[in-house]
Amino acid sequence: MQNKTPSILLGGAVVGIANVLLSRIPVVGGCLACLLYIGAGMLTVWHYTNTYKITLPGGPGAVMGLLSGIAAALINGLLSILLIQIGVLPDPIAMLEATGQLSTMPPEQAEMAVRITRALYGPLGLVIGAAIGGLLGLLGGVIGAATFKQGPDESETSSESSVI
Amino acid sequence: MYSFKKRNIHRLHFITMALQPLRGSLLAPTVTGLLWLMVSLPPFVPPSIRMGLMAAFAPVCHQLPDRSFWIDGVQLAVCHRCYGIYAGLFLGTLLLTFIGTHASRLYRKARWLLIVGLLPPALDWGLQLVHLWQNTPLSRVLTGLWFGLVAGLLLAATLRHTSRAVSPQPA
Repeated sequence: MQNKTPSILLGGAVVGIANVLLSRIPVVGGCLACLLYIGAGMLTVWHYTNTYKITLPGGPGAVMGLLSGIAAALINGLLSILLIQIGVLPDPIAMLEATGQLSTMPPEQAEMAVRITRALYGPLGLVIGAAIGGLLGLLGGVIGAATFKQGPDESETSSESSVI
Repeated sequence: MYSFKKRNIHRLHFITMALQPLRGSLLAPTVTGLLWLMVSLPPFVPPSIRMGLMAAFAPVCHQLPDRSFWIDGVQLAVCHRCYGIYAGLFLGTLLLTFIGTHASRLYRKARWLLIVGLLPPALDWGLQLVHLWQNTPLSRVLTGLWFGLVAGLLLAATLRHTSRAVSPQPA
């Protein structure tokens, strides 16, 4: 039974950190970011198949991609919160005020917008981000399983199958 | 008693194996359809849910207002190109129904297929970056749709290939 955790963490960490860094680059920031999360799943599967020289079926590829997408979103979210706390990234509420979005809303809607933004840059945001990141990572994991075929099928090389 | 239990276990195993291809063929359209639905929903839901959807997709898309679709004055959750990708992913998974027996060929040629899928959006985006090409909403959505179609097709073909590989074979 091969250990899949290092590959999942690697894919998640690389994409989570890359997404925070790339978002700070003007013009490039945010472009094709969904491909980054699909890339998390693909990177995870590539690392795993390359390490053990095996071909991963679509199902385990999907699960590995899902987990790496979740890891990427959590790392991205936690890193963003940390960088906002220490003042490296701008405060999202201050940005809402600076762009004038709050002034165009009725007071109760503006208050709700502030509440939601605050909640989304906390545990709720992490959960929602993990769900979206996980779904995109899942797609990447399956595509990665088809793209990075390195040797015999995993089911032929291992009698046990485990995600982690 | 023992034989009843054993028979039930065999029956359960048979049902699980028989459902395997169905699970494989349903997973891709379900996940991609859900994503497409979520990015399309903002104009049709109350502001609080709309903000939640916008925030959910913020880490995976720049959501620039001038590069996004708007319905009734409300912006969709992702940009033109991403919207094309999500739509294409869902349509691509449905397209596999018409590909039928060629699914395993797609699975074998996955790497080339992915390059063919990525090339148009990469060119449309990269050439704009170096000022050799001015992309438009149409070029962005079409190149995104192209990549999505190819990726969706590949996704469904891989899952079908896997399901076939583990399906029970007649003795």
